[in-house]
Amino acid sequence: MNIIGVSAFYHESTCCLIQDGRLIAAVPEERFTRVKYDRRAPVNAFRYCLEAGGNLSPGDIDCIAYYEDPVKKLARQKAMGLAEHEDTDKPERDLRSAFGVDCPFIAFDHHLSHAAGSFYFSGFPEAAVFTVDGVGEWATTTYGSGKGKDLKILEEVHFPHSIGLLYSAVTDFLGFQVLSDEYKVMGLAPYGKPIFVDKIQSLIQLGDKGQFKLDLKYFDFSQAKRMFTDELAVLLGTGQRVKESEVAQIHMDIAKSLQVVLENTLLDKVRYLHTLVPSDNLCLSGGVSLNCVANRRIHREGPFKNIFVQPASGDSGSALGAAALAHIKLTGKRHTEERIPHVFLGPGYESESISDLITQSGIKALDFRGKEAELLEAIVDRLNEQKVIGWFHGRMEFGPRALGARSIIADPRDVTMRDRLNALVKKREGFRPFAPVILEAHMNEHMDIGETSRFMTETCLVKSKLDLPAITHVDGSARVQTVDPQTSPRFSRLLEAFNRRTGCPILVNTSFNVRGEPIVCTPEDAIRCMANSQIDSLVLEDFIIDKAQIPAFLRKAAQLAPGPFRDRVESDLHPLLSGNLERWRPAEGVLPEGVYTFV
Amino acid sequence: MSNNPTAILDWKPSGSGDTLVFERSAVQRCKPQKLPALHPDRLRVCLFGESLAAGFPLAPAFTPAMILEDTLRAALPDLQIEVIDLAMPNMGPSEQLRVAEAAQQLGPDACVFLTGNNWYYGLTFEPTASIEARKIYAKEIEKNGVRGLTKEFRQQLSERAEVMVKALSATATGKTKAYFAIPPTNHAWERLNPLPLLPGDENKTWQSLLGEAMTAEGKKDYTKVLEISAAMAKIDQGLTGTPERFQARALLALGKKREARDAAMSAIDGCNWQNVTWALPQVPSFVADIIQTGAQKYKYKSIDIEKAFTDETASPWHEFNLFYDHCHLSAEGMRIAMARIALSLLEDLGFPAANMKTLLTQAPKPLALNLASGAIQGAHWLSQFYPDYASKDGVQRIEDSLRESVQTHALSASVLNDYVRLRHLAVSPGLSAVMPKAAHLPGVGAVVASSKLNAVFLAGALKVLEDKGAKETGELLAPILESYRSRFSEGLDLTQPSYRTWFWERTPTSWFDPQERQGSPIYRALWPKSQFSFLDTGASELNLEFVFRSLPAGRSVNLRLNGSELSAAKSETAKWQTVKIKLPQAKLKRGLNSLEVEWPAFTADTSQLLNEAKSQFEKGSEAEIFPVFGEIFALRVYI
Repeated sequence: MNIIGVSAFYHESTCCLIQDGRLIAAVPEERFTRVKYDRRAPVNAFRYCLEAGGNLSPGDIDCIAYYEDPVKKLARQKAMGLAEHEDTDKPERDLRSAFGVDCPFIAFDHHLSHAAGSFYFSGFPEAAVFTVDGVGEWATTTYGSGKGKDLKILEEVHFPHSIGLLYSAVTDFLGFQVLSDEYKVMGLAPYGKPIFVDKIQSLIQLGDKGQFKLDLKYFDFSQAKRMFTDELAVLLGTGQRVKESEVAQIHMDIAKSLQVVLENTLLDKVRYLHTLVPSDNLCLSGGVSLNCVANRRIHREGPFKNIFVQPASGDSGSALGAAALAHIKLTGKRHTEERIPHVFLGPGYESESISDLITQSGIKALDFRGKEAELLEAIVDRLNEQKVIGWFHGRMEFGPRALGARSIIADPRDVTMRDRLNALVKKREGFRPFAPVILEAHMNEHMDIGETSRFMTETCLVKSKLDLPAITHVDGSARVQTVDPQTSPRFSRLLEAFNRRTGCPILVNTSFNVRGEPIVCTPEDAIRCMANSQIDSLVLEDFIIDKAQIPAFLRKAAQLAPGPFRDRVESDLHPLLSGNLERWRPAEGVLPEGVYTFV
Repeated sequence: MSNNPTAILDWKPSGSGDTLVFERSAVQRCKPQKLPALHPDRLRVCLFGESLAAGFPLAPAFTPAMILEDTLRAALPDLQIEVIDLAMPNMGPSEQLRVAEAAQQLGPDACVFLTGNNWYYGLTFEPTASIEARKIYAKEIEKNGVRGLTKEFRQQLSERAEVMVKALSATATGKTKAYFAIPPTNHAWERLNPLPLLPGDENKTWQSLLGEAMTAEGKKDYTKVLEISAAMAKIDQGLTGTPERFQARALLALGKKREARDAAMSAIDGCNWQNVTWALPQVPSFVADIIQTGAQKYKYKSIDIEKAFTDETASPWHEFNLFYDHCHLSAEGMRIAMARIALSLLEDLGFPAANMKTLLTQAPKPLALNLASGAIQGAHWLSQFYPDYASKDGVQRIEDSLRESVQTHALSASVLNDYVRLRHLAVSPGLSAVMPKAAHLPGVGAVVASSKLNAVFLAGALKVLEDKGAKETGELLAPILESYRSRFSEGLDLTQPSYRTWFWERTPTSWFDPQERQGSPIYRALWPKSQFSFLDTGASELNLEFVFRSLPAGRSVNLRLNGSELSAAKSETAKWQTVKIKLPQAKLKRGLNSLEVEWPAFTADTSQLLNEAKSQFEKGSEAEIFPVFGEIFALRVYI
């Protein structure tokens, strides 16, 4: 049985395939189209899933499981005045048209999909389930319980009262991109003092049971461009930070205060959930669960002993949830009782095709085919020389975190590494921290962690005797990934080799991309990214390419944005042409980078 | 308008008052320039427009502004004359208006608007239409069927053209005189548009007539072609322009150039609404009429470039000697157009003695390097669009253009060589080591870097290289063929956009992204035949996995490899089915191979499909308004 799970048409469209109960593939469309958070029908991802499933045809698909209820969602959008169409069948029809499928199409509620994306992949036989995001159809927060194949939502908080939207609105106020940069606010928080906690707290009033309310005079969710009202600026005593302008102390203080309020709110509600579902196990999902600092507090201070966070807890992960729900609906059985072992669910590339690519690109690479030990020693040589390495190995990770398939790695002991990585390699804000990856055998020596953290979903305090400035955040924390030899054998061996040489079983591990770009997918993406940044060496499976071996022309070519021909866009209609306005203006987001025209 | 100086296109202000200057960098254009805001001693002409006026594909080395300036200076050597280039490729109407308004800061003596090709921007039929627009479509379909959509498009474009001539001419105030040069159109530019859904049997009849017209044309029976195309025109009534195109070719073959021109313009008017092929920048006749008739109403002078072409070439039929493509002018076309504009300016300046002959003698000529580059770019552009019913002619034209390029400049052969080498499948052209060499010929980088196999262009390039005596074309091709064999071991899907022979075979929902499989992973055939290309060594047999569905069930889908029949794939049901077929070595060729899929005739109920489309438009959704003959999910060649 082949079930395709889909999340699409809002944010980071994604496809996954569950085949005969096994999760075979999961990948967001952005990785193929190179359009960050691509929201269009995930046609490339769909095609990849079919290929990974054994060159399936659309006729082999038994069900399309969709991650939200289009009828309820449209009702909410219409109530907000944000509807892009008036057709509740549109998602189904668009996907049928794009995928060419005539199998059943089953839509599940947005938060049920989130909940399923966590519970059915957690390996827990039973658990409490907590989902929090901006908004789905109407729900923004849900409290549920899972047992075996049964998953129930017990209570919901409805739009416009939303913890996710609160966080996004302040993200917007701080001059960052909504639905994208919330994690930057989280990274900024440790630099600030919680002096605005009372004011931020006044934005959200905790209610009985699982309920809470936003003070709506501070928010305006009916417009796409600004999520808050002028009242918020009055409350905080400062205006909205101009995008890309300097981040001042007040912005850090607001970020910190927001983070404190978020954590307190979540803790309060998690405690409530435990009264509803007194289990040892908690499953988290929804975009707010990407907040790994809050996850840690929930884990440490909350009533649940064991926590599972869906590795792609945003809408991507709900594609998995929808597929798992469909599996139960069609077979009467949970697709698996096991915890998802890894998220290497995207495309992989053979060394032979990489060899051809390198040759044709005019790059002189070091070839270590059949010589893995030598390869790893050569990489350690470079790491030890404080070089930044692009690491490309195996199938691409699913989810927002690089976990050793498409990673940039470096020596965490170097005091200059963080600034260098931020400025020259990732080309991003200087305040942003980097995550460590550590061998599980050594994790308790260096991290105050206790349990494995294979998907980088929680932070912990660094307790290492080693000086690890590149991965230790200003508050002494780190968002750690622990690595085990079974699911990441080569990555583990690399860490072991680095440990043998340096006594440090830890590396910096950040996603293999530059700012504004999705994580690299193909070897070509990796070469382009390396040539366009200050990555010193690139490990492409069994090959090492040093920066000096990238020809000058290729460095220049890499600076040109890849992708389809797209040129000038009329972004602002002249008033004299307003008679054509209603036809001219495309539905927002239909084309992520404007209208494609030709000379 | 504010008194603060503002940028005029890529000219940025600096200083103020008497010291105000506008500067532009060398990045966007050929060289950095500075321009005083006011210069009373000079005759200042501003040239506005889109890519045509900007000189694509010869810019920046050879542009209409340069030609106009040199021509005027040669005619009036005692006067200081400057022509300021305010044209830019891809400029839409809003930006044109803003540039024209901002240009008042320069105090021009004359504003020349060579514009209109891009005025359709934003009046797109699909896929970006708003809910409101789609509701209008639904109403139009209700009233007039699909014809209602073309009517609506033309009405909107006419309204916009009226606003544009009025508003642009109004920016020329005081001493400034306004001139509108009507962009000419390549009469020979072919486009094949399928027939949208019509009620009853009309689609079936039209398709049948199309086949008959092609047969008659193949037999050079032009009288018959005229007769059949008249019957087709009766059905589609200007919906596609296709019958008019047949008429134009037949009339041209019969030596009736004036009538052929009129038919070609009808074809352009007919196909130039936003349907399956995107509406190419062109000025349809009703827009040209608005520019022409607006002269009296809005007090500007209109300049008929088409008439100038007719006068200079002694023919009303204008084609590839004057154009690189559908609207962009060749060097000769530019020279005639600019000489004609110079003539109008000189007449107003009181130099009526000037004449076209003298001005054309004085107009500058391009460098061989630019001509060579333009010929390659023109051939590449054409190769992606030329429809297969005229392919023989088109292929020859592409080959001729490439040959002309090679003969014009020595670098061209090396560029074609690079183009061939870049068809290698191991790496996309953007990252190939071959690229730096291609960059030596200005403007051809995008051609060489195209990731499409482009069988027509490749065949032309190989032929030209062979004819030039290149002994090593076999050697050149060998690694490319091997790269295909290597890919066949994984399986190569020919439905990827790269291997579709004709650019216009893209499906409506994926039209905006030619290089990627966006919008739909499925190849949807809007024509009775679909054609794909691949390269091969021909060393041994290959396999083909054909995953398709077709209506009606029970009919055969025929496949041909290099024109030779393969076993037919019977469409047992209307559901997806997978058929595996051998591609015998005897039918494979070393080099380019063509795989053709012939679909069963379209027999679905068009009235019902049209009703479905209408109901989807009513809800604000996209809808299909063309018949689909069949769909392919995979056409995978493997070893």
